[in-house]
Amino acid sequence: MDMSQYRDLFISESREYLRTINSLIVDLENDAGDREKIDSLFRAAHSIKGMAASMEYRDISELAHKLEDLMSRVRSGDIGFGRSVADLLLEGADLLEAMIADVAAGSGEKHDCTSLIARIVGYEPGGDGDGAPTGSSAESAATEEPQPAATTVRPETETRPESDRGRAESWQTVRVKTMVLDHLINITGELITNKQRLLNLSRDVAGAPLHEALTELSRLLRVLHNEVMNVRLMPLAAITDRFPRVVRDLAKKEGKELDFTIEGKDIELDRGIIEELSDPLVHILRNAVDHGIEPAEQRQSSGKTAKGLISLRARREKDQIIIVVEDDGRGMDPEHITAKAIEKGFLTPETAEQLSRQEALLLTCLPGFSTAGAVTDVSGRGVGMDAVRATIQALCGTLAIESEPGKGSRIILKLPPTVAIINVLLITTGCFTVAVPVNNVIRTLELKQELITNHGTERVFYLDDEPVPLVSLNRVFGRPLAPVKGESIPVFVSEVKGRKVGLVVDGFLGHQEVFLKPLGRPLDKAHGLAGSAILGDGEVIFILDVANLL
Amino acid sequence: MSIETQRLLVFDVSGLRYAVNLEDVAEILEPSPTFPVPRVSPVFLGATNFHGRVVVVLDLAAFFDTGAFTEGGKYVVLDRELANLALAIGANVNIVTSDVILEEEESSDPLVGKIFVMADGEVNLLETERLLLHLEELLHG
Repeated sequence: MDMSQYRDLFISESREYLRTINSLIVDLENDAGDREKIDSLFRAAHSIKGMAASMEYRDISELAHKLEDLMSRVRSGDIGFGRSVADLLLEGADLLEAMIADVAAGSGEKHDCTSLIARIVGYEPGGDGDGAPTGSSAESAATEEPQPAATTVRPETETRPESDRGRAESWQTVRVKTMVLDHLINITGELITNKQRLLNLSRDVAGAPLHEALTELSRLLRVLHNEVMNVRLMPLAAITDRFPRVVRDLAKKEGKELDFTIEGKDIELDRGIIEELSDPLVHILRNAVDHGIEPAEQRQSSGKTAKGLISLRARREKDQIIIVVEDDGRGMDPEHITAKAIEKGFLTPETAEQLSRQEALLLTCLPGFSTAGAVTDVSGRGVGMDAVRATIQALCGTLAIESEPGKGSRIILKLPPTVAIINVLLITTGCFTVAVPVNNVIRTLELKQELITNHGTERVFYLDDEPVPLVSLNRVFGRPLAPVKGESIPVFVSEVKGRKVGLVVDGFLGHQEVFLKPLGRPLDKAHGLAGSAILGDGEVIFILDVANLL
Repeated sequence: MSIETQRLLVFDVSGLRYAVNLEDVAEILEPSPTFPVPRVSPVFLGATNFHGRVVVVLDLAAFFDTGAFTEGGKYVVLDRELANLALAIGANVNIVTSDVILEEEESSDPLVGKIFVMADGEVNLLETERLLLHLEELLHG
């Protein structure tokens, strides 16, 4: 029988089980007595074993089997769930991941698991009590029978027979290739562009029936758009489930003790955002472990608990998703950051004086900026936070930092729940019509010329008592300055590298919903462009990545 | 013949003849309206709407510094798997199979993989991947 058609399913389901395994191991390190999690861990290993055996991936099946055996010993109370068991299980999960990657690459099972299997089989608790027997009973009714392969772990409280549940769920859900979801949103985006085109054309054609038909078309397209966007939504858990493992490994490497909590894993975002969000969040967490949390002795001497606290909390607020990563570590000193920025030549002492506390903290997001005393292999190379910020802004989101020296830091990300169809401000400047995501526009104004003053070498105006430098978008585009018509000039205020900047344009065309198209090669290497879109009249416009424009 | 049979799109740019593998090509277009792209080199004529896909148009003559795109020329849109790029070329375009290649020579131009000698003259085979890498460097600054 040709099993190749089931390979993708095996890979995706195995990876889901491995994410669960990683998360459960880290949870059990904190609460070794959680019977439900011990059982779930056992079942996840059992499921991988069964799936791999049915696909004739013998090594994967064998390794999963030995992990299952190890968990069986934990369940029976033969050994306790200590750090050495956790390390062994995590090592096994890593090796399984690598072996599954071999399968995905079509290179067969290249990784050798014999040595690890021997260590698992020969595992005996250490003399320090780690992994010592717990003596708990093996015969928990809830955990007697592992689930058959390729079924999902479900709450134990359900009473419906296993086979019926599985069948019912399989009738209600279907696995869809992500490419199909991308096609769906592309087609919906094109329909919205064409609706706009029809609306433009209909302005020259009178007639109530046409108007009614277009109104109904608009309504149906809104419904379709919402449904398609809902289909694309994924819970944050898709990426956060591996974070406890990441944090645990880093903390261990750094010799730090900490508790890590995640809230809001059920918050849903577009899969396009979820995919892009993983690396930035890992980087922020790495920074928190490496630079934020102090060693236990240092914490205790400053009156803190020996264990540091890091939390990742997500919540929905109106039409935005807020993700906050907080630590109770050493925090950041804006004065120290500003001094470092001056020393590195990022800004002059005069400019530094004008920075707000928030702006000073955001200097850490400048390319090449790092206040870390020493570069470690975890972080401190100054190549991370600028990339984090650029990614968040490319997703039409924002990043803010709050921090108190000695008390800790909070990195706050605000993101739209969906991408692809976004609200933009359309702008004309020189020969260009360009767009800026409305999330990146702090204010638009018609600025009277008498309100513009010189401040050092900069032309500035005051917004809420704060000097805001003015930059001509024509100049940024390498075009000559447009002659000023009338007494005021159109300006939109945005944030660039932590500072408010007023961008002078020729005019505003208003807000519009556009379907964001990725730039692709080679334009995706151009600075300051976030994407493109096609307006209702067929005009191609570019969406500016304001943060990387200057 | 040392090369496998393949189909090539042969075109002219400022009097010189170039070719790309036909499998890299999505469509040959009559020039459609282009819209300016901010902050890019003038070798890019602008961006155009190609069946709902935004492709940037490279003026090959300007890029090779041999002239500029002229009226009557065409756009060669590359396959979407490869890039969102169209090449603005001259008016003469034809498709040939590699059977008509009499000889092939190595080229010293890094963007030209090989020089094919055909009965009607030489044709420079453009290496699309190298061209894209070069353009990406140009855009990245």
